[in-house]
Amino acid sequence: MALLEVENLRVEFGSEAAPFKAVDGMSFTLDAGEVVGVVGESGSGKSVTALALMGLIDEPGRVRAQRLAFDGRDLLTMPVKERRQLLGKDIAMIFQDPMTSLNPCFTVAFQLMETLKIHEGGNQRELRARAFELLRAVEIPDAERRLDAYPHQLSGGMSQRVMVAMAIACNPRLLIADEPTTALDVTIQAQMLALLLKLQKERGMALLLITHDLGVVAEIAQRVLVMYAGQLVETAHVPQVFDAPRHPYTEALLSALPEHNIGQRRLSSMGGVVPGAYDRPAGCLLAPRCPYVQPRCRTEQPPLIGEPGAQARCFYPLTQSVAALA
Amino acid sequence: MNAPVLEAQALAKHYSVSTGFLKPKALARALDGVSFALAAGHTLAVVGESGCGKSTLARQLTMIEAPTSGTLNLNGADVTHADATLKKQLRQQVQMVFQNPFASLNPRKKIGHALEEPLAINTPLSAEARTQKARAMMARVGLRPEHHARYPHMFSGGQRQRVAIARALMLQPKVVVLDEPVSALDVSIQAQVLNLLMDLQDETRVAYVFISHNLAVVELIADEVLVMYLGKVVEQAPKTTLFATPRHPYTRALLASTPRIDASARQTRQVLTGELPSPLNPPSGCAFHKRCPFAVPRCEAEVPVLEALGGGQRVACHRVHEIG
Repeated sequence: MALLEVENLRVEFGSEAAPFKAVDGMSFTLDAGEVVGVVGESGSGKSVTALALMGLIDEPGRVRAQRLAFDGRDLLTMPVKERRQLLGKDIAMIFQDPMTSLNPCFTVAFQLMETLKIHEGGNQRELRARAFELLRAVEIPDAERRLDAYPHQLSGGMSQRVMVAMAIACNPRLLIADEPTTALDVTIQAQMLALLLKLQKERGMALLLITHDLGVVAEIAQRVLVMYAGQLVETAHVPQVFDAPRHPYTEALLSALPEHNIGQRRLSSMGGVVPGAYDRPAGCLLAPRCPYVQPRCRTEQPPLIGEPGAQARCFYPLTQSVAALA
Repeated sequence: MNAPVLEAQALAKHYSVSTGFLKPKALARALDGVSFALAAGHTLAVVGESGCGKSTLARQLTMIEAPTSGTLNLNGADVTHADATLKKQLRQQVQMVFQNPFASLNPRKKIGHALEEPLAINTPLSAEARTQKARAMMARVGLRPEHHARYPHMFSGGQRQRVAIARALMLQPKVVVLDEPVSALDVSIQAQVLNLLMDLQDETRVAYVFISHNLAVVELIADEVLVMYLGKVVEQAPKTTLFATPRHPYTRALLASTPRIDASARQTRQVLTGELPSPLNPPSGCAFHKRCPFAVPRCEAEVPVLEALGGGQRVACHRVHEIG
């Protein structure tokens, strides 16, 4: 059984009559110990999906799903108290900006011990020893001294390590990392990715890695979910999705990368922008921007097509050459 | 190469930083001995991590600050010793595009106003002529005429960056300093903006100083690359040379740290340990020695100087010949 099952997840904001669909019918599963990347551009619903999983979408946002289950237990129907106990313990999350995720008024030790105290208990000395062990686990140099440091005394990379320490404090089975390296420099990013992978392997955590950086996904994920305007448009295993993307959007994302255009005078780029709240097309959401668009795409919403594990939301997936149709 | 439009000689900027009440001031060498020459129609990329002096360099080049020492020549005129009148003229020839298009446009002014303001300040053109010029420039950067009367909040990030680029080009500058112009943008929008920048360069022969930490973007757009570490240039080379045969250990680490999609292009990941040291308290000798896998005692004692290796490549490393 999958560790995390998400079926037809919808997150809406605004009025019932004309809601803004931030996440529009997202379905996926995540196995224990699996590393899955979620990619997409800003506004594609990556972060909102993560926040919905964590139960962090506040009123007036509405989270609905046919099924949203962790380890076989439905998160949406379980009592709030019970769900609260899961969060931070079995499901943990790291956010993008380490500098604003830590409380500036308390020391590193206090913030780490708080997590441990709530979920596991123990006396001050035990908690402090555990906090020290955690800082060692995330490879913070001079960990004993850092325990009593305040967040402003830490660099960005160091703060993100503290965030990771806090997230893994209770040995979570699922770690959601929302753009964990975006705010970091490239050499620090490499350190952070190596650390996340090491911890994931050691502890057998499932890792849901949200990022806009396709290179990061290519290097560390096993499977990819590609999102566009709140919908899942393609899901596949890593080598496959980068070698032979089936959805035109995935192809466009890949071909817009500078590293695929070296030696050419211009980057290939898709015109237009992601549809907003008021200009959502009736048919396929990509239709106005898609280079392969057919009449059917403008009127009908394509379903996810393909066998589980390799699906694309497209009437004419790229392997069935579009040229042959015309 | 034709006469450089922008030339820096041993440019340095030191800040004195207060360390506390009654304590002596510390000296931060934010920029230390940077030299380069940039020809019209060419792009110089400046690469490095936060705190390496990239943005300090941008502030010297755009005459926002005066360098502590060294000389800066713009189109043959000495910037560092210019008087106020000459400086005002020179400033028109260097413009800047900032990283964050959400913060660099005044939210209370219409786009048209933002574009016309440089003309109103620096030229005797009539209001009508200014509007006409602004509309012509908007068309060139791919904005629609009706955008002229809109406010910045009505635009997406990519469109705002187009506005910022249009504004920088209004006075037909010789040099545009681009400080991380695409790092706040999504991949597909990034591609559109990079294409626009390259098209505009072909049309106007403007020179770019392109500051970025994204090596993939640099590999695409640059002609020459400066790699900086803690205020100093550690490697300087034409783009193709730098990416084919990086010689400085830091350049190699940067290239190896960049996540790649193509598995064959991926280098064996040599994760650098440690972080960038504080410029207030830099390590002795080579600033990189504490993180360098090839460091020997000499690196701790002696500051390496930039050494020409032929083909326009210059590297500051004691062991460059040994490590190959």
